[in-house]
Amino acid sequence: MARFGKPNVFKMYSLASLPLVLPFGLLLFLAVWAVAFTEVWNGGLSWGFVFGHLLDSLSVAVTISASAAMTALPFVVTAASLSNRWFRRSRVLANVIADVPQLLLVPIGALVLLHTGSGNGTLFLLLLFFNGSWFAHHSLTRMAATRHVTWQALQGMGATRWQIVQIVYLRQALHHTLDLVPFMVSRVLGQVLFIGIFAPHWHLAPASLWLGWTAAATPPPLSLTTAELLVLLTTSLILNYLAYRLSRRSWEVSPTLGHFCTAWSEYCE
Amino acid sequence: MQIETRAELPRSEAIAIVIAVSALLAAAIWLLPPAPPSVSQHRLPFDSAELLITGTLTVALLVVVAALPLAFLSAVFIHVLPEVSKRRMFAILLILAQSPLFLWGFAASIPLLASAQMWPVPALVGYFSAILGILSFPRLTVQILSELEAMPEVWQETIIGLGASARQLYWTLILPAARSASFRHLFAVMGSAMTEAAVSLLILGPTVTLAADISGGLIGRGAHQMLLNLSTYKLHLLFLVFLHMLTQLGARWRLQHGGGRL
Repeated sequence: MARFGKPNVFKMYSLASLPLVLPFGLLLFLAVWAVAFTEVWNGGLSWGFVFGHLLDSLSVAVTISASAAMTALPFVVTAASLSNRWFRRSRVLANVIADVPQLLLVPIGALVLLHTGSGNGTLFLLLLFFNGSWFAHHSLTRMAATRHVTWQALQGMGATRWQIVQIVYLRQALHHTLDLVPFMVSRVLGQVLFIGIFAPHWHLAPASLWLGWTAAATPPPLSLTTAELLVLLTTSLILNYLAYRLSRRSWEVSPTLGHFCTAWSEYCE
Repeated sequence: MQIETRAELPRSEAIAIVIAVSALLAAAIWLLPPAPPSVSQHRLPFDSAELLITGTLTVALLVVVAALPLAFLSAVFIHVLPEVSKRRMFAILLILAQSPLFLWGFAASIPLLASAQMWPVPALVGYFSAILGILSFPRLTVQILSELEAMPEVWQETIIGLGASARQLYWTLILPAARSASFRHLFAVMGSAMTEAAVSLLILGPTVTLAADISGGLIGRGAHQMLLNLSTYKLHLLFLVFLHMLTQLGARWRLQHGGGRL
């Protein structure tokens, strides 16, 4: 667009940020307004409580994310070593599983629970499966971006399929683990909150934030001050900013065509 | 091995995979043990079924109405930014899209919970859909933007080389591409809105969607009790699996026939 004259970057920035700032700003304003001006909500909630729960949640999320990535790694490497057709099939399969809504996983969890009798084990398995498929989907998507070149180049040099897997795909998958796990942590945080609503008896740390509120027939007033609300929201964004910084490589796939043709895009080929 | 230039799976195979995964989900629901007679049966009677199904579809539709313009506008405006600014905006977008949006849903539900009076159902549904729309649109924007960025540079160069103005560039290239990308990804947004439960539960007192109804029945149960209770919601869950399958099939269908891959 620069060739149509010097761009007015401020105007362009304003236009681009409005659709983002307006809705989220409105949500924030409504929440702060409701907390600040309603007496019922001016209870006390200690900073220690909030941060304690956030730290607990983080440790749970980091453990689950790392385990899910390591579990999905063999699937990713195997899929990468297959023919193009089976590679694509594996990609679609991982994508379809990763897209299953969390609510529809509850029956699967219930069936496993029925046969194993272990609540925490079931939960761990479900999260492993669900997030592993997410990791596999994004890892395979990113591999697809360079697959054409890597196969051609290495085959041209006379490498066997196993050598290509060893030299390229195994290392790529390990890199993806480092890149994707930070974002997976924030994803798992959301899921853990979700589980807190559905199954508080599983006693996952962040679930306690919702306890007494969702579990009761008549929810007691939530004791949350404006500052604490803002801290919660800001912390989630800071966590994601850190994840973004740590996983920069995963969205800098191609320096030319499609800068945003990334691990987050379905169209990275 | 031959390197193929066509990068997508044939539509029939993608559809078969979607149907197989949905069938597995449905089988898991079907295999749930029957609830003992002591547990009150939640049989989805016709009068409430109508309300729940209508509520689910209405919420999904309203979510699309809220998310589509926001995603479309932000993607187009970010796409035409200079390179450095574009990267910054994309970073913000990614941070928003990947953040635990439950926290935002929680924040957004506070006005309703703090309100002394019960809101009427249509107002609740409208508010709830607007919130879900706001929470969903950054992900839709990322997808639209990715497709816009994947457009070959030469297309834009050609149009400019033919003497087109900035306005013509918008109308002939950027807006049609963004429109086609938006409709391709809408199905996924609708699907997640249909099965979104947690926020609905926080906001909706009376359950007007299938997901909220299930949530209401499961909240706070012990492991054993939850299992028994879940089996009384088989029809709800099967219907949600069916809706999920339809949206997934729609997404796969559009992927191939949504105006061609850019």
